[in-house]
Amino acid sequence: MRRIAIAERADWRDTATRLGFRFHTIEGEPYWDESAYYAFSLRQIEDDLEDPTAELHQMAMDLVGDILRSESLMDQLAVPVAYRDWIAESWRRGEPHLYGRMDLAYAGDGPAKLFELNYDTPTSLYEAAFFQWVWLEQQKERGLLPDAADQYNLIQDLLVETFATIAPDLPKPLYFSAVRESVEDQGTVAYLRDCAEQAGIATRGIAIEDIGLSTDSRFTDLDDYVIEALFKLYPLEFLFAERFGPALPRSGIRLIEPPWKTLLSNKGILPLLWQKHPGHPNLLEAHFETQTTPALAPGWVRKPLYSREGANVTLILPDGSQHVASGPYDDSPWIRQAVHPLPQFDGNYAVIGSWVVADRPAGIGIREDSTLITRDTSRFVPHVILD
Amino acid sequence: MKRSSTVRLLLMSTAPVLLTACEPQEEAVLYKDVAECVAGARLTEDQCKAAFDHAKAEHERVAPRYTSQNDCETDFGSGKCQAVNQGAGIQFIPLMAAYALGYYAGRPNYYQSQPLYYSYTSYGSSGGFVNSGGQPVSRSTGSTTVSRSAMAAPTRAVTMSRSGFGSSSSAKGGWGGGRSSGS
Repeated sequence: MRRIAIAERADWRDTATRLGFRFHTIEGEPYWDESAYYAFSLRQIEDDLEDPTAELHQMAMDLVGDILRSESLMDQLAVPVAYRDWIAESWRRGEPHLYGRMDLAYAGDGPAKLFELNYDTPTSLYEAAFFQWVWLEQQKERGLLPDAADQYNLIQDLLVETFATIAPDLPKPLYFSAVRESVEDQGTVAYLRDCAEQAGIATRGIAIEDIGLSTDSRFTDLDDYVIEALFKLYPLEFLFAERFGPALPRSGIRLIEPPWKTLLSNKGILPLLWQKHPGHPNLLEAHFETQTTPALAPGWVRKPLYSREGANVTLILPDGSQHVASGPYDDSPWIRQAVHPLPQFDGNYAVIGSWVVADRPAGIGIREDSTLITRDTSRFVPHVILD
Repeated sequence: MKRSSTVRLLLMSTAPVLLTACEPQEEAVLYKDVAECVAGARLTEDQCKAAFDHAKAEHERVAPRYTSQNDCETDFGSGKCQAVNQGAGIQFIPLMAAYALGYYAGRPNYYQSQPLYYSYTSYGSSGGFVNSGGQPVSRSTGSTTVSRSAMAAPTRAVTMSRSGFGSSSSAKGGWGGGRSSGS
């Protein structure tokens, strides 16, 4: 695994515009960054990233049943009582899930370490699945990368295939929804909607804020049609806590990601994985914080059960230096995880987002940040496989 | 190769590529009325009537609606629209012109039949039957093949409130520029 500088495509911004990539630069700051790429060997990809992703995913999926059988585990994960039956029912009925991203720390050798699972509302999908693919193809055409260069990226193939697989059981049309004002979220749902259309599914779009509730507890679009199936790029725990939340269980709506996914996007899954597989090479030691847990010691990270984009994470390195990312997610319990600093390449801290589509490892995207905590200010950097 | 062999976009790109949808097709049968259904001899008279009654009961709730009688009659023909008032003021909906039931895995789905409307604008110059979502089903009554979603016509409901979702995002949006609710 190496970080290699490369010339940007002179026309990449035009290409991005043509291909619907509207958030490559966010508030004047670069997000898509093709001034460099990461090169992996096939062995690194297959043995160190793909196989562990499959195994970690299976370990996480195996926990869902354990959690649903235990009120005390549901308490530990702070799953709202009013939604527990509905969550359990969605699992019992086998409501299909679409995708997730696990964040891994990996430096090119040794086992990749799981930082967390983003299993409810993962973003950076279009960049990883599509724009990164186009980048490789064009850099090969232009002779800047050798013909043999490949990429670990089956994401779009698997997304379209999964949509086609779940389509027969899904009420149509399938609505795609995100927060109206988020260009990034709107771009991500536009891409997923495109994949669904490629699988032959009729789709519609609606902003999360525009969803209506009917007199008979159904969710409606702006023309008063009932929304029977909804892909929402919006955290399940937000839906639960908001005004329309109590109508969810009796609305009959089918959600993607399904309600049971809230158990796996919860950081409490990290201590539960450690309890069940202590010492697993791809896991970092993790525990629930309790009232008797002492103050954060060097070598530990503190994360809220529910948080996004690195918010509210506090980290103390073994040398005692403290790193804090502030944020709004201070209203849920916390977990502690052993510190495992991200590897640094040319002064950039790189985290690997390893995608899972349905239940299969699908590809990776790499984000770099200037700090140890990867936040929403990170940059997306493409990768190749080249032996 | 460890990557997708091709990637493409239908909607996001400025020049969309058209693909044939590969949605499963299923058989559906359209009847003008109960008599035509009974004459078709595929269902008993009781089943024909149950299917008709279900479609008729759904009709007012799910029919396409218009605020102007003129617009409605442009699509469905002169004298083929009725006025309804379901709390949102006077609206115009087309008359039910036929009903349809799907055959799923060879079995008639007569308890989920749906109303159809005869549209003059959905089939080019000639007319044909559309479902309550305006989706073409068939030009004539009798047996046909439709995409499954055409037989799962959208239902309508009376919306009493909006903006019940999205508040956490604005409450927590002050942080990090409020870029994303994702992760």
